[in-house]
Amino acid sequence: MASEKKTSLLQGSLDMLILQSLRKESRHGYSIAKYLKKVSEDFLQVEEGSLYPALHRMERRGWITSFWGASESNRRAKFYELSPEGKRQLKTETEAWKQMSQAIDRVMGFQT
Amino acid sequence: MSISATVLRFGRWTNRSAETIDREIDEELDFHVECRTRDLIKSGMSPEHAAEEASRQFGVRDRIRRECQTIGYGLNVWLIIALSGGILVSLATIGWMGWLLNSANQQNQQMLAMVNAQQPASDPKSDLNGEVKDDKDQPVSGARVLLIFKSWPGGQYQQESFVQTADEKGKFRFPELYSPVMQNAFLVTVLSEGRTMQSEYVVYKAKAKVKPFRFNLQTAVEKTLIVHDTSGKPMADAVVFPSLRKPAKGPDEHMMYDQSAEAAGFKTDAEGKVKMALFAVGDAVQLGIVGAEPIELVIDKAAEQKIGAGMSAAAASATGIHGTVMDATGKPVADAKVLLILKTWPGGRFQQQPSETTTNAEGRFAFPVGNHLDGKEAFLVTVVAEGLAFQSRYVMKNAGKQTDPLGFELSAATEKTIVLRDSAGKPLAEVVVALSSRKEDKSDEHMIYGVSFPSVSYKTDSDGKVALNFFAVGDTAKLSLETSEGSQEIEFNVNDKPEQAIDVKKKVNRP
Repeated sequence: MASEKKTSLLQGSLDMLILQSLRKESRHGYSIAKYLKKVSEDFLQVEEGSLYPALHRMERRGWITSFWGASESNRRAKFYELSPEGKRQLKTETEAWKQMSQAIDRVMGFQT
Repeated sequence: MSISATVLRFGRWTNRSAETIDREIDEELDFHVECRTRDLIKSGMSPEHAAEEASRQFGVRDRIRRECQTIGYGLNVWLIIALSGGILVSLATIGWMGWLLNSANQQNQQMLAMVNAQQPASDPKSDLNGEVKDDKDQPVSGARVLLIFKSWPGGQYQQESFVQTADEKGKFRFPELYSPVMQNAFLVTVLSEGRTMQSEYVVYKAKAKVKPFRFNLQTAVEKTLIVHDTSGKPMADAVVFPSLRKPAKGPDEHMMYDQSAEAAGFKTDAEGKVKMALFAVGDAVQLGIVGAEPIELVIDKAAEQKIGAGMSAAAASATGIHGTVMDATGKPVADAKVLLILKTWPGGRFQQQPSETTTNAEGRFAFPVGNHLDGKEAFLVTVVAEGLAFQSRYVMKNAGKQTDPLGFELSAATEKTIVLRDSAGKPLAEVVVALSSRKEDKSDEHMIYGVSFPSVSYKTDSDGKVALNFFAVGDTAKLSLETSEGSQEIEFNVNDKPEQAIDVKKKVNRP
């Protein structure tokens, strides 16, 4: 049961992090992975095995849309962009995350 | 999500063929491994080790591919599974007895196949064959047949390009090309002047029977494309090639890789003109240009069509996106930077195009792009001028409509020097700071996309100071910090003091 909860939490947070990485600009998968690694100071290393299925699943759900464009190296690449539904989902997930984080902080005594 | 949106999305997904889904997944995963390889080479690794390490880091490619395929095929697969379920159960019962008898033999054969797959060098190679015909089923001789051959010898991804010409019977053959005991993938693109460009991508599992490729090319329109660069000048002697063709109707996409560009044999003349009778009216086309950004266009009925950076959605409109910039007293603001992000969907495909211009002495600006009658558009226009609080406007426009000129009225910014300090209180010197967004009280956020950051970047001095006269008192401001070590975003409330210290609490990220 405990491991199930952990998996579900990680999966939920991956979606949120991907949505956040696309908040201001379109990115291809490799760029998303690099962005998350960079802004988390190398703490978050998203495995490709999770990233691409997550991107395809999120596209299927309508949270993100994709298009083929030219990469920085002028190579054809699949870019993802946040959809209006994705923006709403990001807001929902951010709120849920904040609430959970605050609740955990209270339990752990990190917050007075 | 509304029911109609769900139905539309389902329709869009089910409309795409399994071939297209497979090809796109392969291309996406290949691109990731290539990027990783390039980065590893940059970090000092040898090309051989980099390729090996990138593949290793990527993990089990087949599993990732299968997961993406399952999602891509989606409801189609489950529907087929449900319908086939009963039949499968019946067949399974009958087949079980036979399977028991043959299993030992099959295991031996599988073992043999695995051993063979580890020894690609000694495998006999097979020919890849095909045939090109026109829409009247007559052979097309002289067609250029471009092949991208993908294989995975010893588990390592390998991609090669070949070219052939169809013979007088429209037939082509790539002799001794592939090992039939291994997994192979083929992208075959056919170009024949006067007929539409077509391609087919097929992945064959190990030991699968490779079928001959068959093409039936449709009649294309005679077209002269006039290619312009970003400054509007004709691009002379440029090698151009049709990298993607998406017919107006149907889910098909026909593509050509960059590796085949030279073999495609198209070059612009001194006036930037190139004849290309490979498309039908209404096709969404991506035209690759060696050494330059690709151009997207929709083929119209005219014999000549001007294309180029900033003219990609359709022929450039006489109107474009335009407007004026005034200050709060109604005086025109000259030399203001105007940043544009134009989003269009030519032929149903999304594309995003950044542009930049400045206002003239009358505060007017005009882009040669956007504001077309014939398509849906969205655009973000941001105006940045020294001493004035920057503003942006996001507009969504449907086909058949045009947007009125945009009128910006910028209020005065507070004179502000930002002092950036690290967590130890030391000044952050020589840090590049880009304007990212500002939010006025109870108003929308004014944004600048990352792609435009180079135009709105400033550098701190040795004391960590930088003058940023672009915000109003009370704004919630966001800046993007870029140093030699990485980048991060900081947010702060703009106060009424001429100098404001910002503690950058987070350590600047490492790349």
